[in-house]
Amino acid sequence: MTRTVCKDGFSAYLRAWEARIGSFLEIDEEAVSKAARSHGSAGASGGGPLAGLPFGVKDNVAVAGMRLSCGSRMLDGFVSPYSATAVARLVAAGAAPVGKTNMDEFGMGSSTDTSAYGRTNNPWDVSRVAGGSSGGSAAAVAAGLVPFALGSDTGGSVRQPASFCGVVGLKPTNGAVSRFGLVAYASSLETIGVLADSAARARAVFEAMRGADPLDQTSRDRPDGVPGARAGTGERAGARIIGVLSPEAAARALAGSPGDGASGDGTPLLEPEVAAAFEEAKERMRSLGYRLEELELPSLAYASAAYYTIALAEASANLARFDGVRYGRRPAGAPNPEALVEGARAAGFGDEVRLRILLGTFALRAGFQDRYYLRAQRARAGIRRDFERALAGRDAVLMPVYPTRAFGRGAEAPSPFAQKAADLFTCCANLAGLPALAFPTGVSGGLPVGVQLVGAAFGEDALLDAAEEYGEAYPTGRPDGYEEYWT
Amino acid sequence: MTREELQATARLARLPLGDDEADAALPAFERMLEHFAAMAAADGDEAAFGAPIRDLGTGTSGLRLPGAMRHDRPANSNQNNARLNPNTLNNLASELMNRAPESENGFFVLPNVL
Repeated sequence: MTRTVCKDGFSAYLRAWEARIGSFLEIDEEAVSKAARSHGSAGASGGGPLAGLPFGVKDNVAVAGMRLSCGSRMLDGFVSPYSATAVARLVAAGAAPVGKTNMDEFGMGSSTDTSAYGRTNNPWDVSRVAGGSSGGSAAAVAAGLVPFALGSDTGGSVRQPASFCGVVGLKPTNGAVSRFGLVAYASSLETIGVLADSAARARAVFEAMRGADPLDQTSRDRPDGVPGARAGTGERAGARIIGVLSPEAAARALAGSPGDGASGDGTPLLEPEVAAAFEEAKERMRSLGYRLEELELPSLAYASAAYYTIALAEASANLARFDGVRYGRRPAGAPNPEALVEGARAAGFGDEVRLRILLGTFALRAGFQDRYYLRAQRARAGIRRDFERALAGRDAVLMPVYPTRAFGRGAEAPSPFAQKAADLFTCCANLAGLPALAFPTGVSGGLPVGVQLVGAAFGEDALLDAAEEYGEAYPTGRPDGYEEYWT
Repeated sequence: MTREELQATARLARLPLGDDEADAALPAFERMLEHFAAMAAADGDEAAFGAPIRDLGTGTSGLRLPGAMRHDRPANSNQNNARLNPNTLNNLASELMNRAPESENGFFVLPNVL
């Protein structure tokens, strides 16, 4: 691993990376270059861990005066009149939003390739995807263009790209971070999350953002008495016991997930490199003094089906507002209001978004709710129960993030269906409303591999502690050409 | 799933599909419906959840939020507590009104659609 400490030439560094990876849809080059120059200099010290740091913001999180397209033609040209509370709190802590990052359209995808605004490549191998849907944020952090970026996680959209790009990705507990200013996709599942170059950085960002917000009635402060929470002392207080999804259980969940490989487009089995990295991560956690206890999560087999049923049902309702009247580009002319709405939606939405709205509409149709939506809600309650059992007396559950490392495009890419089914390890934390943290464990075949820890509600500290210890003891590499600007 | 059923759903979603478009969309749609339908096995799979799934609730949240209601006043009201939230949204209402091509007494003036 080579790292160069360099204080000059950031503009050239930024441009060279952006030409290769395309992580930003809009960036204030001057602001980020200025931050790079002053970072670490005497004048910039003081004011807390975030003072003077620039950050990227996924293009579905509002920043006043910046675009807010959600990666969709529908919102082309829309500029946000206000900032998300998460952004405002980071600004109050001294950080500065410097640009908007690319994403799958409305967060619907696993590659960032469904964006209407071009492609984001993986900094480790530009022929591969950065993951999604927060791919732009992950790629920008991985390339060292910003020390952290905001993403959103509905079923793994922070953690999967973090894993693909070798950075830390935190999906907080449902309600821990205000969602005021996040464009809604699936309201009962999604959170604003953090992509960062270290677990310590992710913690600083989360600490600045979290807590009740009068503008989001689903947000709240951390309740007292959460196991493993740092009681203001900064000391690690967890039980140091971690449950581990057994390899057999992981294989069974993959094989048993509906629509497995028989038809050739099913879920990929755990890639050997991912399986090996998972085993190595276990060994290393043990060497750090954690007691690991193998467990099974039999409800995982239903996670992806329940997740997509609920997410798409909610999406069909949330995206009804994009009708060319309330939101969205309006056709130049229409013979009647019906045609105006239909014309706006036909012109604004891409294929994947259309498919998902249709599926969600179908799942909510009269006569089908018992079969789909209500059954999925029961499975969701069961999954939450399964995780509560697994977390009793333990700090976290260790799981793979995604069955593969960053995938390629065209023939190299899994089918669109397989990409969805492969969300089973990530979407369960969203269904259960629990915090989850993806962090890099190593590099295999030139590509990073990550694992994730899922914790008890509001138990982010225990997850961050473990990842921080791991990162200090086993630092992972950075992509070729990375330069250290944000120490 | 027939083409006609898909088209009926598409009309409800305000995303009408022509015959060719519906035929093209059908395979991906059916693949996901199969995926959803596999949840039926959960009904008899007590081992997966530690309880019969029929006994489990359908609520969306494990967290009960007390009094999650807010006052009905403009978001830029000075009633928003700046200590709790630096996002005080100063002048948001006027900011939004300024974006309207035409406004009158605090309302947007819209062209006639018909």
